Amino acid sequence: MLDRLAFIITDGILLGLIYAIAGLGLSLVLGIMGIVNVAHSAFIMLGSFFAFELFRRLGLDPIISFFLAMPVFFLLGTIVYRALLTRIERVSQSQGLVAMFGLMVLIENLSTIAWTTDTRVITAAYTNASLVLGSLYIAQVKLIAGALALVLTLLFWAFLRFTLIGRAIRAMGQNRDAALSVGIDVRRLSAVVFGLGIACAGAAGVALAMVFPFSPNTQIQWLAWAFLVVILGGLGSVANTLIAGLIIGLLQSLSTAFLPFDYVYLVLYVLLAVILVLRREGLTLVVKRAI
Amino acid sequence: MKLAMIGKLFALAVITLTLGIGREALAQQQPIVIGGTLGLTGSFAEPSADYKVVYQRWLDEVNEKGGLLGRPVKMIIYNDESTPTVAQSLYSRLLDQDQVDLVLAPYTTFIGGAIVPIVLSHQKLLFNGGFVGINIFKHAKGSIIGSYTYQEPDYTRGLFELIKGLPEDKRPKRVAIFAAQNPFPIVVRDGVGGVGGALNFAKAAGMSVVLNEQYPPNTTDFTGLVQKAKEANADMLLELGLPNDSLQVARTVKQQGYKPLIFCTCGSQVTTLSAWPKLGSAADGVIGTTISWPSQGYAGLTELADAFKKRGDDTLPTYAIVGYAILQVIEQAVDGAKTLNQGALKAYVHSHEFKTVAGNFRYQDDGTPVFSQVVLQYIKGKNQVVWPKDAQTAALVTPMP
Repeated sequence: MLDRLAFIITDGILLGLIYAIAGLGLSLVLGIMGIVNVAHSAFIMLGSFFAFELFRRLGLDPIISFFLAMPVFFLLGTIVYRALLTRIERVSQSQGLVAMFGLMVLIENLSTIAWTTDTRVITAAYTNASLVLGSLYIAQVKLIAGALALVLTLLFWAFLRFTLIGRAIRAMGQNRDAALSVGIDVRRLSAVVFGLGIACAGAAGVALAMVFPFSPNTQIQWLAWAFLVVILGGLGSVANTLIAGLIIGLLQSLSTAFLPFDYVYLVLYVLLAVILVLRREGLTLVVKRAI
Repeated sequence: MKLAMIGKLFALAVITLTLGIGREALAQQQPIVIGGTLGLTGSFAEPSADYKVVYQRWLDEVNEKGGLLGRPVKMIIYNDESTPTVAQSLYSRLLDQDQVDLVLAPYTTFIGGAIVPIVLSHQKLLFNGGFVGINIFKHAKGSIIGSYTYQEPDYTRGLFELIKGLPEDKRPKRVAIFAAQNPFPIVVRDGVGGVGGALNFAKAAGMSVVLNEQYPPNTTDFTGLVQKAKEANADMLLELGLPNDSLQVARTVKQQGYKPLIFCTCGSQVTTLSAWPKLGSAADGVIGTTISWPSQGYAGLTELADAFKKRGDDTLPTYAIVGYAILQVIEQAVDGAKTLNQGALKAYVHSHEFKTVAGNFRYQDDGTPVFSQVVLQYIKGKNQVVWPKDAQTAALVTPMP
């Protein structure tokens, strides 16, 4: 019984860490900039294909791709910010949402053209191996992806907490006008925040591709997970996002063990509904703010 | 001598002229138009691409042979974007505006089920290499002509036949079933009206079902589910899901060190898809099913497999087999009945045998071919036929390596 419980908790934590990074970038962009970036999962998918191409063409281990994805996707994020978001800054929230939805569809369709809808997997040397502790089998790939997720979360937390830019970002998130009045270049900082959000999505995509099969069409399922994490964890807080991911992972793991599997997702979505009812203000704050 | 030479030249001129006129006449004749849709973009673009390849292959071959009924053959394949409503409007267009002579079904039951009423209301036969659906076939009363040689209730039939032939001590006794929450895998599991389905086959084989779980289509992680099967000491695992789920279940089974006697991804023909070999050691030992295999010696099947190998496919996708087979049925039916009249074609199809890459078909009253299936096991990087015995290319490896 203890073995079983240890397995459930370990698996839940590892799963939770992976879910947390799926929502981290979304939480940051939503919390600081007030942008409901529904294209977030499309960038996650691009991250997966980034790792896939490096693995297929150069034999590059996804662990290396994970760290490479951060600067590459940061750059991509700032380009998208300059090319698209600066143009829709002053439009209404709903128009901004439509624009981001359009971007998601565009990325998905271009990816389908580039990679077709074939299901892809990345099988590195450690993918099918497990760490065996007595009767416990812990997939090595999940341990690695979980560790990478933790590293990414800590990096973001440290960046926002200890660097000048990080403090400026937090100030901007708390009061944009006040940040402007003390001389913070809000527009430039917004590009950095969006770039960071996309960097996070790209790195998350690499970690997810290590563990799960993917195709351009499967990105949408990660959007649901990312929103679940954000809604549970609140906006713009790295620590809360991590805790939310862990709660969801553990809840999924525990429900799977003790309930018929049909009920697992029901439990998660009931949780989502309850949080939306109890913590509605979390989202309304965002809705009030224009892009 | 000179006269003989002139005579030869004259004869040559006449032959050339006649052939030229003949070819021109063929080209000038109204083509026979075959129409249908495929999800060339969207969720079903992967299998649809396989269909497109074999459609083009058949079209080139048939026109090279002189067409059908002495007329060239033209194919109109629209992109239904993997969306039923788009497919419905495209089939209306094919039938009302393009006025196609013969109708091909789209890929997958989700799309196919939506267009069946449109096609049948136009008194057309639906030549169906695209989807299974025993209830849809039965309702159409023989007006849908299929090329899938097994429908949902029979997806696991070959596997249980294989198990029946094993020595008593090698037969699994405790079954765990994972089924995706989707009408199709549910019928694969439950059967229809008490007939077929994994649960009924297991009961008939005297096995006990120790775990029977359904999972939502957007399930990402299967670790807990596999753990449950392992804890239940299931010595046979049936994964009745779509390709994405099955890939992840196979990987998780390997990671969890779970080695049942039999593990079958019987909900789709996923082991014949290009992603399967990429699973590495997690792919090894897993069982799947398909329609036919080159070792059965059906005419044209080896060539088709070779063509897909040249495209970079390690194995012949099931979709390519059924897609090509339904066109062979059309070809032989039109040639045999010598008409495009749908009633006459239907009568011909239901009373004759057809030689296709999917096997030699005889049709049942509901329009499905008589059951036949191949059970594959992925052994050391290659799919091997383990059932039926007469097409076997390797002995079953059990338990899982």
